[in-house]
Amino acid sequence: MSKKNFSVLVVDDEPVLRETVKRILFDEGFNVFVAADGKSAIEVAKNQDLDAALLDIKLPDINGVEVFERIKVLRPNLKAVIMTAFEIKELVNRAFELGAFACLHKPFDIKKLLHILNEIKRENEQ
Amino acid sequence: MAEYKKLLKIIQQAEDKDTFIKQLVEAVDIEDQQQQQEIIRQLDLKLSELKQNQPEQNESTLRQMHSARLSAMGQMAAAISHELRNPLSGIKVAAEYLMRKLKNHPDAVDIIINIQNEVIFANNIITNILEHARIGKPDPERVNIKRIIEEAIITIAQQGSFNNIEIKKNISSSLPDLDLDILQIKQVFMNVFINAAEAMVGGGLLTINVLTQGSMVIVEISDTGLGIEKNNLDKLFEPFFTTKVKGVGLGLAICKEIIENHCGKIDLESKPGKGTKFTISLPIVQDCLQKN
Repeated sequence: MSKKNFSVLVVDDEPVLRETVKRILFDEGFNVFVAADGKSAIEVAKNQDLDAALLDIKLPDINGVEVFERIKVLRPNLKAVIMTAFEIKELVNRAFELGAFACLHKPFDIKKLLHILNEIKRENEQ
Repeated sequence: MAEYKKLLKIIQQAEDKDTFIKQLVEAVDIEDQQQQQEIIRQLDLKLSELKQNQPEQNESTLRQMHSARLSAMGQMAAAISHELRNPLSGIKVAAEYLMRKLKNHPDAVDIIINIQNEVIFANNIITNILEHARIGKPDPERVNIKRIIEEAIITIAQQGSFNNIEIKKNISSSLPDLDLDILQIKQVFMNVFINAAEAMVGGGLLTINVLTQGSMVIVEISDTGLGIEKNNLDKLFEPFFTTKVKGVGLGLAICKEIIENHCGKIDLESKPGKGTKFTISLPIVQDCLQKN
């Protein structure tokens, strides 16, 4: 049986960012799912065996940290990477308390994201 | 029309309150002397009452208004920064995607590099505006300024800005502690160090003197860089003034505001070709922090 590709969920309401990150990650060999808001993200997490999630802190419905909290219940081994355009200290701290793997400040370097995802992949394989 | 012109003249030529009220009442057709006097008396009382009810624009009120404006600005800056950083992220990632697809096309690569640099520049503008809007009251701790200077040097060195630059420190061993907002003061030093480093492109010497002079702690930061033209010197601390090609011009304005909020002063001397010296003076007893 072939090994499942590393699955990532990208959650951001900014369509250019969301769809371009999806394309780049796909080209890098990741299995990619996308969502534009918190509720859709949780739906994806219910149905897909996700390894990681890239979550924007500010979403149209519920904030990214809350999404992480709810997805964690469904997928306890999922690693979250939080994205933020303007640092809201309390939310970022809360994300790390919940076990977020990393925080990326927008506009971020895609190489940094790839480095983080590969780190998560390595950790999972150990 | 005649009545209108008469009244207008009285109002425009009024020099003191009593004469003004008397002339105004005389201009109105009240024949009864007693009634005239009563109107004059009532007007006088009413004008005094209205003046009392108006809040005086004293220093404390002005400070409160400034503080409220800063707070509203801070919120606006936060909202703007978020709104702008999102599309900027999209542009940055899209440029990266194009770079991957067009890496064998040198003309396209050049343009994509320009796009990426413009994103960095735009992001720096946002950061500067945020910093400027966020400067509020200092949140001071009792600390030795030497510690903050050392931290700032380490941070700038880690960014690689001090490559080829020799740093000479002459720090007095008997410096008194001061009440300083560590983050804000560190920001000042980092700003000045970055300016010095940028002025010494091929390398140079950065000298940091810290001493006590009477009731002041003085920090002198000198570089052996390009120096600044005389006619730019007095504009350097103004918001949005910059001599840099890609500068935003808020760095020194922010520094000035931070130092003044700490009851201090920041000055500079410079000669083209000779270098620049910043002098930051902070009083040992920072009275203004109590008032703030």
